[in-house]
Amino acid sequence: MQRLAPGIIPPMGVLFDSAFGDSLEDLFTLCLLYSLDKRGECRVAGLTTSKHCLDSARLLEVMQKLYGGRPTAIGMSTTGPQQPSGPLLQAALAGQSFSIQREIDTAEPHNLLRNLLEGYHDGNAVIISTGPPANLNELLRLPKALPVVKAKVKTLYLAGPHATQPPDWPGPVQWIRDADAAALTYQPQPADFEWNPLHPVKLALEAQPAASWSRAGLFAALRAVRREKADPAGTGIKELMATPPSRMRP
Amino acid sequence: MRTFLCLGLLLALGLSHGQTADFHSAVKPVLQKTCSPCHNERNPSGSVNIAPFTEPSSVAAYRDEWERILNKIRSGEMPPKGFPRPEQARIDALLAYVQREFESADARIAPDPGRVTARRLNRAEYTNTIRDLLGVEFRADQDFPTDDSGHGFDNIGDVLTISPLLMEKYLSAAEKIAARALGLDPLPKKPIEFELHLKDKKIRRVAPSLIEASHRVEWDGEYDIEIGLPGERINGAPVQLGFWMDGKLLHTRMAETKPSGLVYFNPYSSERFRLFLPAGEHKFRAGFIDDDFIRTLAPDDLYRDKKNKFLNMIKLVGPFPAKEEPASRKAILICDPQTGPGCVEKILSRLARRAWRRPVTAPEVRKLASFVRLAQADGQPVEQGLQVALTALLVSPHFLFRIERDLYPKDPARTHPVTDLELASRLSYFLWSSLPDEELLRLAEQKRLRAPGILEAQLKRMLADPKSAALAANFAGQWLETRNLTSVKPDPKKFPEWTPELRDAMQEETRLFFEAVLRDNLPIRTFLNADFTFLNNTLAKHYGIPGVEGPDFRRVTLSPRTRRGGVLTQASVLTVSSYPTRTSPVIRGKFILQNIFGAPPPPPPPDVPLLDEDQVGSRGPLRNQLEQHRSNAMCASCHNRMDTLGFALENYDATGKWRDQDSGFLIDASGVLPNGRHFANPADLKHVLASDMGEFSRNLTEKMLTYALGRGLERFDRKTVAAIRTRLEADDFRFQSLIWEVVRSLPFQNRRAEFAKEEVAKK
Amino acid sequence: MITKKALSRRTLLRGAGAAIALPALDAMAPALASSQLPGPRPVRMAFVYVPNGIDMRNWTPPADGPLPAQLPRILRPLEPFREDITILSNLTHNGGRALLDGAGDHGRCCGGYLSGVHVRKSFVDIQAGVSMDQIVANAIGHKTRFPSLEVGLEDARQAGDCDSGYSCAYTNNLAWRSETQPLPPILDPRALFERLFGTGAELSPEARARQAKYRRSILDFVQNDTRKLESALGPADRRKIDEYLSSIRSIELQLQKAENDNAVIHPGLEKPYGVPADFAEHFKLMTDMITVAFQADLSRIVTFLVTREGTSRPYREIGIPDGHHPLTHHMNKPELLEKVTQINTYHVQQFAGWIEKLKAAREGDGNVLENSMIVYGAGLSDGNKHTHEDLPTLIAGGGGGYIRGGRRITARRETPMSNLFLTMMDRMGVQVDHFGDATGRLAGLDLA
Repeated sequence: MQRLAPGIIPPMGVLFDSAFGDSLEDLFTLCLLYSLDKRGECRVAGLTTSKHCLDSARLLEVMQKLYGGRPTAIGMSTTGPQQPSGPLLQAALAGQSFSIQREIDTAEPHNLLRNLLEGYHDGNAVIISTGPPANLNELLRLPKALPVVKAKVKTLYLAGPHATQPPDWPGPVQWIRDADAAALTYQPQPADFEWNPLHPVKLALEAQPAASWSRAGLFAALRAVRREKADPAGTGIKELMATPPSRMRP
Repeated sequence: MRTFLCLGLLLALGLSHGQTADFHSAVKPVLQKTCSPCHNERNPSGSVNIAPFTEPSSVAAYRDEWERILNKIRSGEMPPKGFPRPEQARIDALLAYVQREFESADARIAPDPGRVTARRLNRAEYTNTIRDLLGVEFRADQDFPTDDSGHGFDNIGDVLTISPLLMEKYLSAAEKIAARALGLDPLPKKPIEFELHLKDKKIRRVAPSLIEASHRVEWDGEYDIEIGLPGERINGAPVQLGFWMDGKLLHTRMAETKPSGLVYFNPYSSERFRLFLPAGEHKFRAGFIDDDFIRTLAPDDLYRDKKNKFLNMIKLVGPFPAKEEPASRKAILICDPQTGPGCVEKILSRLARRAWRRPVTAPEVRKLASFVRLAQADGQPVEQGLQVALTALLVSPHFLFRIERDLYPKDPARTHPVTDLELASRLSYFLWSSLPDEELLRLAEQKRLRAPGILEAQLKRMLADPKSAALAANFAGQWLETRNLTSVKPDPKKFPEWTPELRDAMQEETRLFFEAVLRDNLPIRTFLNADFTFLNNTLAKHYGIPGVEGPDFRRVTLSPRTRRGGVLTQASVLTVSSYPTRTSPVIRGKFILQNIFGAPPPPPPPDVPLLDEDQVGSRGPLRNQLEQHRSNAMCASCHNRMDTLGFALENYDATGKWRDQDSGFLIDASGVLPNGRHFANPADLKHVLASDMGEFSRNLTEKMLTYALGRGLERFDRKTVAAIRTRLEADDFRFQSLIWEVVRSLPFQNRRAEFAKEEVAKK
Repeated sequence: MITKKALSRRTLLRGAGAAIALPALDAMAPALASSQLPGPRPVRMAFVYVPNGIDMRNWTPPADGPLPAQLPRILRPLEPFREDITILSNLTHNGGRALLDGAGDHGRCCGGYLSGVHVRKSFVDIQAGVSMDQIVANAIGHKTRFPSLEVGLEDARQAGDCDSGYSCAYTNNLAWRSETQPLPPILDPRALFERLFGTGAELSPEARARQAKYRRSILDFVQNDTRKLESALGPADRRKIDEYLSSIRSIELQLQKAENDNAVIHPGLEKPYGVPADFAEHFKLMTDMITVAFQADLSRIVTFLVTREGTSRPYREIGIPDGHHPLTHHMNKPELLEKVTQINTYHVQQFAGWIEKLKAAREGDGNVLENSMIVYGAGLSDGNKHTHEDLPTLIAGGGGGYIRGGRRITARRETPMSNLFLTMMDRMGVQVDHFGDATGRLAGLDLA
């Protein structure tokens, strides 16, 4: 549909879907993505949460603002009953200000995903999913969305214990197993994030140190952005994480 | 020619790998050394990675991208200021190499006339066609919805659609036109009175002794016209009263102005006369001609009825049946249709041939004649039947569309000349926006249009015909955007001199000027640097040029002191390229890039205002502010060129009046073009522009070809454009030579079938 | 004259001698009301489009639910009708966004406003979508004399381009009959008058019958002729000729309708001449006629392109000499924003004048407004930044006892405008499974 001229290479758009707030790892992954975005390696295109919980959406809003991301709507699933926010989200959001007050301040995730994908060149977007596939399933059910997904999404990256491959996904799928990410040794510290005293990840880490985690999501993000060039050891992640974003993007 | 030979020689000698070597020496090093530090895969500034373009094959494979690169380098935008720049010789070598590659690629393109989609008559063409076919004045622009335009013109086949609404209008217009042509339009039983009075604001006072009103006349017919003349002039001499319709003087008579001798509380008189008026929306004017008396009056006395006689009302009463049968009817009834079907068929066959711009077949005529029988079967007179047949003729696709036939519908690769008849229509709609006249049609029927010398002679004849004014109205009106004069609304507070008269005068100047360049076959650089123009008193006053009296336009030679000459200094162009309240160097710059150079700048990204020009006068000259804005590299890449050109015209205000200052700041119109050429003022700029006809002649050629063909230009048209340009240059860029070359060009003379969609994609 | 016998609305209008002036109808309203006309009223639908976005700070009420005691400034002219209007927030047109096509938001947002599509960026090879009014017109248009009416106030630009590579067709039209065939609006009040109420030429019934007969045979003639022609044409030419043929057929349909229903409607308005220079007067003339068309059930579907997207029309009527479009690139300067707000308010003021008329037009126990859905809105929200989300949208009227006004309803962010259109189509009795980029029906609009 929309061919890319050679030499003209807009950054890859990354859509990130998860049950945000259930795991610290998703937050590290998001930080990593924004850091790569800041370096012009990708563009964090949109964030959708499959957790029916306003705090989950609020966290994404806060992160988006913190990293100077494009102010796109935050997608939030409303299928199933509302879920409690939990200690991680409460810690991360302590003292933060956000504009999401009610469900209407968020977007339908499948609609949002479709809208955002339409803004990317063919094969120039990826989706990372580290949570339950509710939103992706809805996306595939949306009328006329299938060809959009097929054309735009280069690869769907799946990682983590909750990820499930949506049936009939029309394009390539890559599973990042825990074993794939074993080489990653980066261990996040609150200090990596203290360039902002209200950094939600810093707050969350302080409240609930990351004891054990697989790093598969983190590796999926590296893979998605740097593709085969992704350094299996993830060298430099610490530096990436610890650098505050500049207001102006390249 | 020489380049061509050398290239052919090289190719013949099988030296093409020598060209690759050329690429590796002339192009690749510059790209790698100069471009790739900022445009590489890791860091694609502006999302551009130069790597794919360091391959020789990319020049042919990615023409559009390469042209963009070339433009950036040529204009000096890249490399940006402050970055190391290769020696000029290296840049020149790169440009020359790639340009040469383009040319040889173009030379390899198979000649292709392209394909014109069936064209529906647009409003101007419909109006003219009805006028020339039937002698009926019908203003399609007042009745039909606006035609959409594409590629800057509203005669592009692909864009001209038909909606049910338009079809409805076609049908009812055809009925009405047929009735009017035959003099059968039923008049109301009683005449109707319309009083247009100053006190009801239905009259506009144009000047102390001149009033104007717009009014729609519903029926062709005679009307009693009464002009209300309040007041009196003590010892006043009779004055000549004039009555105009749409700028044409229809009637004059002498009117008394001195007191009548009777004692009136409010002195008043009126003048009455009967005139034939055609149906349609008209602008009527009534006024005293050469009325010197009012110059003796104090302004306060102008409308005091004891001091002056003036005008305040136009009354129309009618219609009354015309005494004489209309000329259109006489022209249609070439024999007496009462005499039987023989004559009816003769009449219809003649009309259909003209209307459909081709000979008609006997079955077609019989079919048309059947409408007459239908009406007669209803007990209607034969003329009523003719009216129905004429209506049918006018809503037929053969009339409303210009449809050309494919000789080889299955084989788009095969091109063929259009038929003489199709060529005749192409010519007449190009030059006249109307149907072929008898002479042209006959030549086409006899298939003699392409006989030696004929086409050229016809072209000369047609250009000399007043109907070629259509080129000024429809081509120039859109090329120079002067059609927009009817919709611009300069702020009357800032520009009190703006009146409908001034607007009309502006339009007229450009029209007459264009026609002069056309008819006198002047070089096209005249459009930029003419030393003459056409003025009347209104416009001359606006320009500050003394010695032009009266409302009639005349040719005026311009000295440099007048600071006018060429379209860029004509008030029409300067006004349509301004905001209602102020000038905009950006819009004017864009106007020049788009309409003179044919290189429109890319549109600005959203949320960047068109430009922060609003602080004019409050924080220093506009210029300084704009220069600040251009310190932003992203804006600068386009605005450098645009603003520089626009600023050169800052001495002309938003209605084109000369000024030395703007909001108290002295205007600095000097500048440097990206190609390094300096200019100090508008005259200088024109000189610079006119000294290099390269871009301008290419642009005008492209525009003219687009207009003539009724389609946008394609890649394969480059060759045609280049060929026309070369011949144009050989004839000192004379305007008629441009038109002649367009007419004899491959796409104007030929056509082919349409490629299926997938083949287009492959192409 | 009026008996208690159940009269259909059209019988009444046709009346004796087929010449009943409509204002007289208002006077008869009580008689009508007591007659308790049977059956449901037709629901009407109109779209009033204003260009260049709206100053949202002065448009959006502060909270959801019942409207505040004081309406936001731009909406204040609608104060008398506050219970008849519903403000809709967060509706979005994703197709209006660049989606890789670069500049040209004005062209895109108008071109796809009623179809929810992303129009093709082209000067000539235009492609939009069938607009929702035309989908409805295709389904129910046969019930009225005119399947739909397209009106506007501003003539198209006569030269130059419209918006950054987009054909003027996208900004000159709201209604699209097919992907490539826009329906141009009528701009001249006289032309609208003549279309709705006839040219005023008094034809005898016999003459009218004759005219219809001739018209039919003319249409037959050109159709036969065209079919012969068509076989030899290439695809693009055939498309043009198909447009021609389909337009011919729609006139035939109209002729057929006129056979059963040829009452001359006397609108109780003087036939207008020329296009008024004054904006308010022009607006009023057009909407007065639409009101009559609704009352007389001449059509149930109207699109009204107030002025064109990107227009630089100044508003001297209210002391604003600057062009509308340049003003909307206000960069948040208060003095420019103020003028934008004034223009926005001025537009709504004219709109309120129309709403007043619709409400005053009695119909059974109620009024025409109650049985209408008049959408007022724009294809951009912030004209400065060209944003396509949270488009300013309001619906006036009850849609036939369907919408409870006096509220602001906020949808979730990014909710497609197409969801509203789907819901409205339901209400017009036209069920489609999918439309534009809809994700479903719009929640919360109905009374339930």
